[in-house]
Amino acid sequence: MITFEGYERRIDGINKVLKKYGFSSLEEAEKLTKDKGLNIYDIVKKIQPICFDNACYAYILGGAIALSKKCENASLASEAIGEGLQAFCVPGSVADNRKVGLGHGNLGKMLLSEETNCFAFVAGHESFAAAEGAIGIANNANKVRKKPLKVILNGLGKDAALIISRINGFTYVSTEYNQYTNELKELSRKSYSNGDRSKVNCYGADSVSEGVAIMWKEDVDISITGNSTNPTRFQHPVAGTYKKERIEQNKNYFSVASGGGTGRTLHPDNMAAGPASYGFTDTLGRMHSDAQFAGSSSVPAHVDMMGLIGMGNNPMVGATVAVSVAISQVI
Amino acid sequence: MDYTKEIDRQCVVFQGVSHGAAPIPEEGKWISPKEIKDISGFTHGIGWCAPQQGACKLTLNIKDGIIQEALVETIGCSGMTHSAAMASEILPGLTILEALNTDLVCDAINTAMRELFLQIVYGRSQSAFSENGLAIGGGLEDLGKGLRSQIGTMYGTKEKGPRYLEMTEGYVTGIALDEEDQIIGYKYVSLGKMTDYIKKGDTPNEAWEKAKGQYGRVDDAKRIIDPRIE
Repeated sequence: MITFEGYERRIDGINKVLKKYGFSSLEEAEKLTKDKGLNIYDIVKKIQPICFDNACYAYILGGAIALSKKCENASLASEAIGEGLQAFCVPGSVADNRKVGLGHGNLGKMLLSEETNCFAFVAGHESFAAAEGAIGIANNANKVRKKPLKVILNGLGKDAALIISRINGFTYVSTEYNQYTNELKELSRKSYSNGDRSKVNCYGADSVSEGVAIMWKEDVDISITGNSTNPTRFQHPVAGTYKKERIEQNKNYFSVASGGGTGRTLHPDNMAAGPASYGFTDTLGRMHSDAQFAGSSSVPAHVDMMGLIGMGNNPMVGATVAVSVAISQVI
Repeated sequence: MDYTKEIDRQCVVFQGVSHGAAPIPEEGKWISPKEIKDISGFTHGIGWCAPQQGACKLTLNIKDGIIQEALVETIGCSGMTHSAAMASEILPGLTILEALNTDLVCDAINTAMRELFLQIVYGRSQSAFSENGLAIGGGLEDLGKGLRSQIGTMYGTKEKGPRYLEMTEGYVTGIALDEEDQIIGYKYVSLGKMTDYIKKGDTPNEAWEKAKGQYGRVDDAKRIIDPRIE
């Protein structure tokens, strides 16, 4: 029998969705995916090895829904996967209230659509987890897209950007920003691998202004922000400023607030005293984002606590794309 | 209640305000806290000791002001692991006000309790928007599978460079180096998983093999070195 973390709190919601699509059990849903030659459990584990089992089974359910709906392309499969993720949300939780599962499905759908040019992980560069998401997208999205999707990492800290590139095989782009003229100069770039991963450009910024300039250089039209490390000094100011500038120029930009601060109120403002001194990064996310996830961009346990599944929001973006593409290839 | 003569002599000037505390988000509700029993939620506090040689991460699940669940994690000193053992028995059942003036044995844990108190009474929690808060047991979910703390242990010298020793994923058995001898990944064994396999009847060698993993570009490595020896 299939079991996973938080089974009792989730199974009623899951059973409802299983029934809606004519499955008698999760086992039967899993069998449908396996009969098509898909090992969704492994696809998900490969993206973030420390993810929880409930993450793997949520994607298995999403995959089975996509198969039973006969989604004809990866973009539609992604939307269907969102229903699977939503079914795993604990009733009454932040993830349930904010429809985070469906949101992940819709984000995957946008990334797989031809209208999107460049997706940015705007990160604290504090962990390799943004990279885990980027790898999932880089390895998969362009298998089905006609025009390749550009994926970049834009974070605070140039040394960290280099190490993240080196460990993950990305291309580190070294830049220098002129605060007097607002010009961004590319000094050098080095690829740490030859494959699809090397097409991911990883940037480190020294300041918010440099971060915004990097967004313009790559013409980013969708981004996801990590929220727990450096969020008030970098990610939210970058996303918020860029949003304002895109609006001024009549260009689309869809901003997702994904990480640590969202859905919880741990972060104080800089005085940590008086009324409303809670949830500062949740608030910052609300100021510019078109969609808000919950929990953490990287830590499985923190996303699980918000009632979704045990997988970082950034790796989850990679997993949604990877599973969607795998499904589109067997349908 | 006694009043001084000076106060007795004064005439009354009426207070025109009565708004009280601004509400804070607690377990999916907005509460204006007046008393300790008005405080519920799941949150963390971080503390340190006077000589700054050890640190504590304290996680409490509080319902109606009473600590129902305590997770005490410590790092940096051997004595504080014993303090943590005692605190795990002392904390549950106390109100968070009592816990402030209860000796939690170690500077770092006492400080963590102070910081946690501030977090929770100002409305800073994991469970602010979760209806009915987190179930008791949420603290264990913070640990993940195998119930081990997430600890990073890394070391570096100018002369010999960096060494990764312990990551979230486990005990680092090897660091992968490229042709320029820079780190491009690491191999590890998950001690929690390995021990679970042994408890279920695997031999230690089988368990070791099954609990192994790697991260980064290990497959591209020119060589892999033992970070503790080489």
